[in-house]
Amino acid sequence: MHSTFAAPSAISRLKTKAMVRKIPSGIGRTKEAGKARSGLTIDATFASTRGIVEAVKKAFHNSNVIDERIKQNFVDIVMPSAPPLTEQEKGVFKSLGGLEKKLEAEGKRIAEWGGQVPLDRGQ
Amino acid sequence: MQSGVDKFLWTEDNNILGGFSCNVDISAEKMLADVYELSTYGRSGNHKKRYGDLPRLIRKNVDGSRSLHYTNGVSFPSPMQDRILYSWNSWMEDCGEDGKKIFVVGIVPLDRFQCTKERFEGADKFAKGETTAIYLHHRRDHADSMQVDSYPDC
Repeated sequence: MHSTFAAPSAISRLKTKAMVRKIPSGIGRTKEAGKARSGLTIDATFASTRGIVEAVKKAFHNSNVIDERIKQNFVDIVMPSAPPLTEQEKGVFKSLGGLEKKLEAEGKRIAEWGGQVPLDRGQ
Repeated sequence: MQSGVDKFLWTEDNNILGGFSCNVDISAEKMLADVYELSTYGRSGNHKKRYGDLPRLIRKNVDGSRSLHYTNGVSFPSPMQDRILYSWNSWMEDCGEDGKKIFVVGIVPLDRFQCTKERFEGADKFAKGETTAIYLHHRRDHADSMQVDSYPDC
């Protein structure tokens, strides 16, 4: 009785070890994976799967490309089809109209790190 | 960026206001998208990097308009408290004195307007800040971007 109970556990442990070893270097070498090698089979499966998913995510993570597409979509589709300005929105721009004039009248130039040549504006 | 950034500061009552001007080598439309389009991985990543878990919410096409509401948490050096900024962002196309197109992005505190407002859970824990800004994107031989920005409550 004792031997039949122990056999499946030993087989699954062997399978897990084999699975962990098949994963390329750098993947699945987590703390959990370390514990898994010592015999915790569920942890080992989880760690291996997580390692694979992380590797896939890293390989397909093209955030810069997606950001560019989002901006291009704004220029090509959102801008031409934007609804007309509402009265409130016109109020927003009216309330901001004075800022540019104040900058030109009162703005004091602050030192430029790159040695920028001052323009005619500022002091 | 084609040259350095010109920066300006001035005070008004108790407010410190700042502005900058620079030339960039992309179209005014692209520059507008760069400033106005907030729902990008880059922007989100920068917020996470600078302000950690402070909230960042974007609500687009408010009440069917082109505007968006932006709620973001900002942290400051101690002893200043973290602030939460509620802003109304909108953009428009205009004509400059030279007859060329200008794209304007306006940012004002949300509380100045009567509109649908969305608050998030836990907002009461933060001190409230205000931001007012205008970005002007002039289309020239090369794009010229200017921002005037203020942080009255900071």
